Amino acid sequence: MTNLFRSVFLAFIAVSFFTTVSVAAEKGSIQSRTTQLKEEVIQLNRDLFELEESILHPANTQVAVFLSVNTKETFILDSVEIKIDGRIATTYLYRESELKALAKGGVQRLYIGNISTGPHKISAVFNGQGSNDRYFRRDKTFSFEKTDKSKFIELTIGDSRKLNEPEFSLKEWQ
Amino acid sequence: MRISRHLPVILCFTLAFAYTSATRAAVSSVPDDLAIRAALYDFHQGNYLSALITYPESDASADAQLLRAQTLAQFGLLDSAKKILETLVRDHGGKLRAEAAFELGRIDYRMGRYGDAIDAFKRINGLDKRLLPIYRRYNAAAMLAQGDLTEAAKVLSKIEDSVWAGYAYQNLAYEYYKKDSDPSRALISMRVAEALSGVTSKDSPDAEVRELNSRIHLAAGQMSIDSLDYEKAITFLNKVSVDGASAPQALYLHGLAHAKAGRFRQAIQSWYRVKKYPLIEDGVADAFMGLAFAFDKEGYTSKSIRSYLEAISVLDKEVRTLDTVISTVNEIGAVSALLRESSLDRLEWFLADSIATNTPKVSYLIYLISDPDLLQQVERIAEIDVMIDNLSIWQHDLSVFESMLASRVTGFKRGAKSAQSKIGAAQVVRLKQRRDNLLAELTQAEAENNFISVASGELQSQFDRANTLASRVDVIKNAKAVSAQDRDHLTEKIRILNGILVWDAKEQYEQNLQSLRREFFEVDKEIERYEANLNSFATVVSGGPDRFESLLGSTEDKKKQNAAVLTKAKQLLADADKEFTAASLTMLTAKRNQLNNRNETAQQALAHLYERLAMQQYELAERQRKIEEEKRLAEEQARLKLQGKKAAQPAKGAL
Repeated sequence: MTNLFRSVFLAFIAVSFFTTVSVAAEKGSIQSRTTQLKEEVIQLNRDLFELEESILHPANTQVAVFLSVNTKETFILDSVEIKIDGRIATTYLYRESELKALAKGGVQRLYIGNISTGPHKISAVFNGQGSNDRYFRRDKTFSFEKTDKSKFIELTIGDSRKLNEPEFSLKEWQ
Repeated sequence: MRISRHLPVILCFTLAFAYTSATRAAVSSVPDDLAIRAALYDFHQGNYLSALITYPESDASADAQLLRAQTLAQFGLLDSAKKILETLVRDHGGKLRAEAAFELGRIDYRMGRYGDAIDAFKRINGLDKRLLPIYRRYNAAAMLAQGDLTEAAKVLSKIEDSVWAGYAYQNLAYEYYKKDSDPSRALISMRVAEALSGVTSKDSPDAEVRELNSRIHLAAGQMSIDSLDYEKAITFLNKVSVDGASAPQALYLHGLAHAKAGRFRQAIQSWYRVKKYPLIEDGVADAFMGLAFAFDKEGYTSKSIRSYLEAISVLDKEVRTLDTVISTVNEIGAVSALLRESSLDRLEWFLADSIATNTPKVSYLIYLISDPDLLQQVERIAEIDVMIDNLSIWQHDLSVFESMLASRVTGFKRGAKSAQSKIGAAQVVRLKQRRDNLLAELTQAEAENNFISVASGELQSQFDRANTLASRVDVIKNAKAVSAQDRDHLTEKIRILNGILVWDAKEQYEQNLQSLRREFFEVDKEIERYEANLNSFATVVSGGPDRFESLLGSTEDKKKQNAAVLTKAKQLLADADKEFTAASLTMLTAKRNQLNNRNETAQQALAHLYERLAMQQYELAERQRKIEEEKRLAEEQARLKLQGKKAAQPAKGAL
């Protein structure tokens, strides 16, 4: 009787142990599979973006416009409008989280498109609110040359030294 | 031929062609600095997947690696983040090393490796000031998790005023409370938490600060009740915001403190306010029960009975609501039932004076994710959802690319042939010929001093109109429609006009010549560019089908790969759903049992109350009966006495 009881008890312990182990393994498995999936998705996305670029925006026609904000004075960006050769490329209205990200040094990819090689003009307009609730609308046009390499243009809204108000500047990246 | 009129035509033609000629593919790469800042933009918005895709793989700068590690950690890839951080700690110094060690410690803490976290924190030297409170909070939390309260208190003695200090001291207070029999140290820590986090006002505009304030005072109130200091508890609980999540529990404890102090009327007032909240909230079911109890204590028996009946009714309704939730979760899984649109959206609470801010579905979800394990499961499901969405969008886009490329491959040769015939090399020859002719005309005009040929467009049109007028005068002359004097007068006027125009043309001659030479220079440049574009177009044409076929092949491969990963992600979601469903059912069933127990307790209390009432009525009736019996006996005795007296009187008379 005692032996029988001992056997049943040991069997119960063994079953409990294996159940616990298998539940833990499954739990671990979902976690590790999620981690593995994340890594795969990141790498796949990188490859897919590269493929998409080569199909839709090959280097010799590609133009990408980035926007950054570098103002020391209080300035709340409201919206931006970009024209390339007189045609509207994009307009963008900003959310608070995007403004915070820009204020922390982030740069936003505003537009990616295709243009021919040769000289072009890019016009940018921004609307926003400065200190003392002053509302700003400033525009500026820049010329640039498109070669057969990708063209990356960074538009920065910074402080004007002369006028003590925000203004656009342009940087062409090679 | 007028040279100045024809040059812009050639220029426009070459530019227009340039727009349509560029189709050669090459993969661009965003400059590293720009890519890192673009990733930073995503990082600060919480778009960690997007940030990780944007990061340049090649970038080796330490700052960029630190940011990448932080993004990996936020995206839950802790091991990958740790690898980068360990290298940074090993290979660098100064603030960067300190920040890397700090991140490493935080990751170890998240992974539950508290000893490793403390070791990593020990390596921090020269950390940025803004990170110091967070570092001390985590360092102390790791020590608390290891059971080392003394060291944790030492670390926190240096913490700067901040919300982090509030959280840290609150945790320390809980640990003291668990360990000590006397809650003094815990309550002092709560006071410090309140003071350092700057949350002395419950009207703070910051929602997080307000909620922390409420939690600190709620916990302090609970601790005071446990240590039988009800007045102190009421002082703490009065500071809990009525708009926050802690309000129902705080109101319940407020009533409890009054009740424990024997002030049942005040307890009734507090508990009555809790009735407005849904039963899922902590303290609400207890408040219903307490209300009935307090009415009874105050001697309002009928109100007490009504309160018990109300408690039984609402508990019964809530159990039925919970049964619906449980059966739906059982039937379609917790993800579909609770995280997607489902029949549970139609589930409503019918509260007399409801201040429920959520539907039952959301409230039960909040209840479930109050458990850290379930919260982690829901976060994981949300991450898998994001990846499934991402992969599904790609699957759609890849199908579009595939059909577009397939049609390009089939239609390319035909299109290319017609393009070649239209804008072939012959066009360049024609353009060059026209340019040479115009140049020859210019040279001749220079040699002959032909001012008009090189004049501006406006002057030329004026000269043309003067010539037209001269022709009309000739017609008039031949028709003899005007007098000879008038004819001579008109001829003279036209001659003067011509002279003025030639004079103007002569005046502008040098300037016009220079302008034309500049224009020739521009035309040469554009023809050159046009020729280059043609050549590159020819290259595209010759290699076109191969390129599109190669892109089509890559697209098909990637589509298959994407579909495989998508299937894997969906399977993972199904497994995560199973796990979440099982855990949810366990918690929901426990909640159901708890409510059922409360219901049974309320029924028992009501039965006891009825029994007591019956006993009281019985005792009252018994007492009444006894009084009446005693009265009857007294009357009987009096009657007997009287009878005895009467019987004795005739006997006396007889004597």
